[in-house]
Amino acid sequence: MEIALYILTGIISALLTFVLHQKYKISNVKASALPALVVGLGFYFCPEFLRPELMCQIRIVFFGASFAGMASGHIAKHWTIVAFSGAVFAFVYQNSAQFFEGFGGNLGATAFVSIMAGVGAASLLLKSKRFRKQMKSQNSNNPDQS
Amino acid sequence: MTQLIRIVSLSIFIGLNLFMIGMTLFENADSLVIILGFGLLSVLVAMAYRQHRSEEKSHVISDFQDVAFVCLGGILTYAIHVNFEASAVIAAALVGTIAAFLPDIFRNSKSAKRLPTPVYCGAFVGMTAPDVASGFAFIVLASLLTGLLFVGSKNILQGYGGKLGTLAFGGVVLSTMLTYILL
Repeated sequence: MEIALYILTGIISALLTFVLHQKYKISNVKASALPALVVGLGFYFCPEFLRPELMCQIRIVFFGASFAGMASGHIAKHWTIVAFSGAVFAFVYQNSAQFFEGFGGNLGATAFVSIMAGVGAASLLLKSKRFRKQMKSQNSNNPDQS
Repeated sequence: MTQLIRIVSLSIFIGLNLFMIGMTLFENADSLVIILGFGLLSVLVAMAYRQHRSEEKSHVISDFQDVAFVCLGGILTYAIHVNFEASAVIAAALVGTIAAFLPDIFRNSKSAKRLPTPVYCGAFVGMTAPDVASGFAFIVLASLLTGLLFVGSKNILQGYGGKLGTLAFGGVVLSTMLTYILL
């Protein structure tokens, strides 16, 4: 149940940053830092809104996933890539090595892996679509073989 | 020279990714879900690296201004985080937000225009927990190394989210290794 909440947070945060940056032309630093500050301060001043552990994790996932949303439009060509990366971020963050706890940049490194996974998945999907199209056109050219 | 810097920077990025994924697999060697999940993740990341195209901008002396901005972001964030007992997220987001608004305030300043990105990168260094960073000297060292990586990687992975954080992570990991070896 908790992981679903983190994944949802990751998707919302990444998409919010991406939309603020791409659609409303807000600089990517502002689009990432400002919503994270609002959420961080909101949870700071309303400490009884959720369980403390849950609030702490949501704040971190929200901040970290916003880095994935900082991707530029020529890298993340569709919003689904960013949403996928936000979800991947939550999964990777929840399962990443305890060894790196407290290391600065850990969230960003996780976000980087997530956006790379999103870009990789998109290219895989594109290749499989092209492959299917190629196969279809080959079959229509040689109907005897099919 | 530019090509050498590009190759070294890209190797550092790939090394950091492998280190992160490798340590996670090492710690969770008994969990099939994590092994499969991170295995698939590695394949997708490798595919994204194959697609990556680098740029051809030459390095200039003014790039080293960014090193100072990274240090500024790191020290400020760490100071807020430690002295005011604010969470690392609030400290980094606050520093990032202030830095992001500076170009709007100082519209004619060229330095203010290039300031937000390196300061935000430094803010991630400043998020290091006090039990990992042994003090401000560690943050300065980590910020300097991050700044050098920042300058070195300006032609690679442009526009990829999380690049700044990965640079900060690289700086912190290198500083931890250096302090472990030297002290």
